[in-house]
Amino acid sequence: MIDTSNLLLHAKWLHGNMVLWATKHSKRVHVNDWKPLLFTWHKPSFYGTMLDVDDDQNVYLNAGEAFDLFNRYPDFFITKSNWEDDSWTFVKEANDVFHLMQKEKVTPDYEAWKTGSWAWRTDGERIESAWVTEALSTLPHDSNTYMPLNFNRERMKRISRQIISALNHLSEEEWLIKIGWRKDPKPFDIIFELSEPANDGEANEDVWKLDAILQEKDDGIAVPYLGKSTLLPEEWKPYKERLESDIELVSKLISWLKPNARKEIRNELTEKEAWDFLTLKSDLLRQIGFTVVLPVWWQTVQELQPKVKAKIKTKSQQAGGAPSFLGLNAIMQFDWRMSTGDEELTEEEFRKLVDGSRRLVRRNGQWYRVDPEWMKQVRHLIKNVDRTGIQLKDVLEQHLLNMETNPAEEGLEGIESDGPMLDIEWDEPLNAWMDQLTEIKTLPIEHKAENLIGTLRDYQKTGSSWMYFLREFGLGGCLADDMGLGKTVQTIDYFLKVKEKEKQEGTFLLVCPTSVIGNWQKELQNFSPTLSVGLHYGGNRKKGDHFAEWYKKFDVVITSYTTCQLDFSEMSETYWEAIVLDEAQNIKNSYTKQSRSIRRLNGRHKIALTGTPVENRLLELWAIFDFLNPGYLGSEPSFQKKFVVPVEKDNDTLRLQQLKQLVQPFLLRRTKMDPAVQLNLPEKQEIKEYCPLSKEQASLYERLVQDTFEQLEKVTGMQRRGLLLAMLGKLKQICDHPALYTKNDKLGKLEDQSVKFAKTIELIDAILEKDEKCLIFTQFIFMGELIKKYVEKKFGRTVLFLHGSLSKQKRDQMIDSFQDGEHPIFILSLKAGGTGLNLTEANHVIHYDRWWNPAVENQATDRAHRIGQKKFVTVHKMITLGTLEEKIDMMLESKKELSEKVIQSENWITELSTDELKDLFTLRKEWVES
Amino acid sequence: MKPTEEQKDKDLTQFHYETPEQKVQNTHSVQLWREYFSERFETFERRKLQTVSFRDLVDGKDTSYTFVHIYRDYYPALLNAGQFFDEDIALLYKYHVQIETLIRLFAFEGQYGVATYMQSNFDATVEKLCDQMYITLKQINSKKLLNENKKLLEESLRNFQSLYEIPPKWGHLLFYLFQVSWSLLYVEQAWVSKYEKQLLEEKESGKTSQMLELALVHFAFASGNEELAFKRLTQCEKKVDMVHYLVWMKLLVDKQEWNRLLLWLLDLKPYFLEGVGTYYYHSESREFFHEYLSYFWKYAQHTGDEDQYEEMLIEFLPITFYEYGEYLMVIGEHERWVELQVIMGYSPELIQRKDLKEVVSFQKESVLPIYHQAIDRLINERTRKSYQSAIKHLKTLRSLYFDLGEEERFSQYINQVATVYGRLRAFQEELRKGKFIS
Repeated sequence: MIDTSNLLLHAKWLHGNMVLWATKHSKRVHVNDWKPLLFTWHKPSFYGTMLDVDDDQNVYLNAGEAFDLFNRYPDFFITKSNWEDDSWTFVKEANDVFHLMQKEKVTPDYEAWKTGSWAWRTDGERIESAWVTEALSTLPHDSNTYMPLNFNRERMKRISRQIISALNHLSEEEWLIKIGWRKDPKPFDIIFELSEPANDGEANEDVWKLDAILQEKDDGIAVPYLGKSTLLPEEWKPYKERLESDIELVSKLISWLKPNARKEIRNELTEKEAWDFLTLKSDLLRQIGFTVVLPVWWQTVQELQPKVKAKIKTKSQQAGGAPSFLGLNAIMQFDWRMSTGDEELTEEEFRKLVDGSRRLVRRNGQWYRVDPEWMKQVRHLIKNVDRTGIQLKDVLEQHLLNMETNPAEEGLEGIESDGPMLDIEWDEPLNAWMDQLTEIKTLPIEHKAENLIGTLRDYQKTGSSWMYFLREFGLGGCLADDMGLGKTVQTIDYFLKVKEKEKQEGTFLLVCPTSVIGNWQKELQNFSPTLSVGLHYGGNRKKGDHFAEWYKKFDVVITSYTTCQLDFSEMSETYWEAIVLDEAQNIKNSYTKQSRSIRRLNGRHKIALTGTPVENRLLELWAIFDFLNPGYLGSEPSFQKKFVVPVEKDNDTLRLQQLKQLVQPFLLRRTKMDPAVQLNLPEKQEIKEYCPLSKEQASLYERLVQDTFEQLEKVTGMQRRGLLLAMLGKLKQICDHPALYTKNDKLGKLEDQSVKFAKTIELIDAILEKDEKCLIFTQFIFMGELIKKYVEKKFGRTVLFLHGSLSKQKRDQMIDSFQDGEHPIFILSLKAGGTGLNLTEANHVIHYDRWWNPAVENQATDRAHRIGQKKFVTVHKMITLGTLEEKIDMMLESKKELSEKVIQSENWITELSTDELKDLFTLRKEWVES
Repeated sequence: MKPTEEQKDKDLTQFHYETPEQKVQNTHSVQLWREYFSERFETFERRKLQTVSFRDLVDGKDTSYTFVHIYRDYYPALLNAGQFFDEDIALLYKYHVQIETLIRLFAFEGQYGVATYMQSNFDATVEKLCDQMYITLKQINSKKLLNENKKLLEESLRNFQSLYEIPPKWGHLLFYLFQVSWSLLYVEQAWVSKYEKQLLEEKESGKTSQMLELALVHFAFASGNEELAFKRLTQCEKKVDMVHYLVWMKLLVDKQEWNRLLLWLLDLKPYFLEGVGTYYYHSESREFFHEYLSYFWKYAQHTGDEDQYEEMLIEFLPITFYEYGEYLMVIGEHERWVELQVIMGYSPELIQRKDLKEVVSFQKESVLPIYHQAIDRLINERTRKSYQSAIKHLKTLRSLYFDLGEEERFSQYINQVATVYGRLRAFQEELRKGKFIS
């Protein structure tokens, strides 16, 4: 219910808008609590349902709409006391002026008009109020307020010099009649009728006729006007003088009309004069209230500028099949066509038609309008296009931007060109193909690859089918799904599809950051044991000819960005089956050596994977597209000029929109909020982030295990348990970060020393990027401090860290500031994170180390995932590969029931036999970073 | 039935009446009536108790003697015994029988208690009896009685005081009976003044009780002095129960004293406005408020003074939504009726079909805001279901616009909706299904 007690409405005239808002006890009120009532009778906004409302609950109206509102709202329920004092003056003003309008006391201001502007008068006084002046000129058509019927609002918009000088000798009253504000007392109208030359093949084929006719109002008699000698009916005679002065006015406006001494007006016109009348003068006459009748075809001809069309012909391999071409630079076959309306002319026919300098030409009884200037440009266009040809990207661009472009101009320059536009017409197979490209729903969705272990969700099938579809046409694509939606598995499915369909000729190249190499290896192993995977990384990697021999043995070769750049000669000499860039934002700095060399790699197909919304970071987008589909977005400088500058400096949203349309077919981004995705996802999702150990970590790890086992031989009972638990703690520290074990916390090299750490920092980067928030749990206070210091330094953001030694008051402050959104990163030591915290603002939870007790971990996760949480929560569990972390994770996974009963604490480990312990702790070296 | 020894004894003492019943046959003495009541009750109770052990009675185990028997057996027996030629005296007798029954009921409760599971039954019985007393009082022509039998009526009033003995927890009931009796039966102004003076003296002597304060209010009311009544009300130490106010108003409605009623209605308005907050939580406040509303309505009906009524309806929105809507329909203020629906944020399906139809038949265009706004809300709910409901209303809206000859404007609207909500795929689908867009 809308409660009007204490409701205060405010109105303010701001930059040509009437801004409305409401308060209660000085607090803003949501529009829903006042707008429906205030706008109950407001027709222009469809009763308040079609309004411009901003986030601060302001409603924006133009002056006319506001005027209408103030004159009709439920003033029984919304009384004067509901209007703030200054705002009430607007309402009052509107009421007063409307009252005068009803008494016909408001008129346009002649004096202002003479100076070329529009203003209003009441009782001889000019209305000074800016908003009322504006309101009267912008009254909505369907408002409750009204204007004289014959008054044409268009007259307020453009006041031509010619008309001012023709009319400025009139009295105000006469002027009001001329502009249609007052009724014309003459019982007849003056009509000018232009007719085209007769089409009978006779000599006067070039003579146009202009007749003046006096037509009795309400369709009575019509008398041809023949100058002074015109015989007027008796009752029209008193208006003879008026008639003469009207004709005078006409001849003032149309100089070539030159009436002779008998006040006759010429009625035979040349083609040039007829063109002038059609295009300019008829409009002037209309503006001052004359009726003008033009040939019926003029309307059509005027609307239909002849069009230049390139008709694309695609050869389909088989009837009904998809068109065949490869890459965006494929040259398309086409024919020229000129068309106007329904008729289409060949190039030849058109050339014949426009010979000579006429503007209006007739062919087979049909009129065409030919601007000489326009023709010149068309010729230029045809010449240029014939030289450069039309590429698939031109066709696509036109399809996507839904506008005509001029491929003769470089890249996208055509968007704003004034000259004739090239209209590309495509045939049905191409059209169908382009629909598939732009509407992901129409893509053929394939089953998951046979050899893929596990199942795919529907949107994942869409993703891999999409990559496969693009591949067929040699088009690169960027899969930019949100973190956690399974880009990896979609890519693996894509690899398998290509292999299973026997389309694979070479090796797939996967380039990714060092930190995720392990992850890829693991995932490839899990999902597709049938794919052979080679790792091109580390000191032992193959070079030169050895490399050429080596890589051929594998289906997939994984390498890092850095290695790829170092071994550019090996990499670039290979023609890859496909090149996949994971975390493709790594090539965002287009001028760096890394970015340039990666963009120069050769492959049958290119795919970029990224979890960040690239479409808003233009240069990054350009770099990725330059990799995927070289040349599609133009050169970097031209891209800068066309998009980066207008969008970033001038906030040109249209440009941004165009860019988005251009990249849309090649960019697939689903977020967790995407309905197609969300239906299939649980409310929280767990991702295991696998990280290899660094060399330093591995050697510390091995030494510790070895030392401990030596001692273990010698002790039993409590001592053995103590020893084991101590080792366990230390190993965990090593897995987290060697600095934790060695207590060396120089910030400089932290990311190099632990992949887990580097990966966490990457995650934080991505989270900050998306303006999201995360909780990080760790068991080690030192680790928490380390992350805190490092993140604060790297990102310049304050990081909260809650641990056991803080006072209750301090903790509460932290929780509040996190919940209030002041700080996006919150580190908690698991023990201190105890019960009773409610941190629903976070939508990411990172478990930096494992607790080995699922209940404790879940409890921590639930800090973020609670009732009240509207966001989807992603849980990242950081697991070092080859270590006890991975081993225990596997045990927990395979024996869920066991884990819940037995593993209530870490003590169970101490009960294991030495052999079992060895199995548990021994480092499997295949995962150590080389 | 054989007369017992005791009965014989009694008969001997009351020798001038052949049967006890003769004491209540055309006698004009409340004293006699009461003698009869006592005798009768002794017999009644003795008989009942003969079959019951006292312990069982206290434990509530035995059902052969409960308060129900007082109401079911004793009360009708007394009524049946009385026979009078004069109708008003007959009614006065009935009234005293009712007082007697009431006192006996309370005495039973005090002596034996009422089992908890019977409590609500007991309360209902007491209330029923009070309602019957009110009816009896209304039937009595008290003016005639006063003229012809002033002595008897005076005696009746003295006897009425016996009610003051009822337990304090029934105080509100006592005051109710006080209000109705002093208004309908003991209408002699001299008595009012006499008792009022007596009470004022008591008060000055330092005696305080709510009953005393209320009685003074009522005497002001009974003298037709509203100003004094309101003044005394504000002086009451404890908050006065709403029930009592409603009784005063009911009495004024019965007497058709509309001007006085208005004074009470207006005086009470702030009290109700304050209580609007509890309206949705307490069934009692709802009942009270609706009674208040109905008195206001009756007032407007009889006096034609609708301004006061309307003003009140508006002040009490939204709880007076139905009444106000109905009112606007009756006076033909269709536009304001639409505004009212808008204030409530009601969608067409929540609005009375009959009313909506009527407004459409008078002024089609005035219901447009209701549909437009409902559609707007539904679209913004963003569920498939809400879209479907929106489409349903769009169809109605389309036929409204077509009937108004404004097809053009409707398609303008559809275009705008389709554009503004172009990103809601499911909604676009529904628009297509409804053939609004192709």
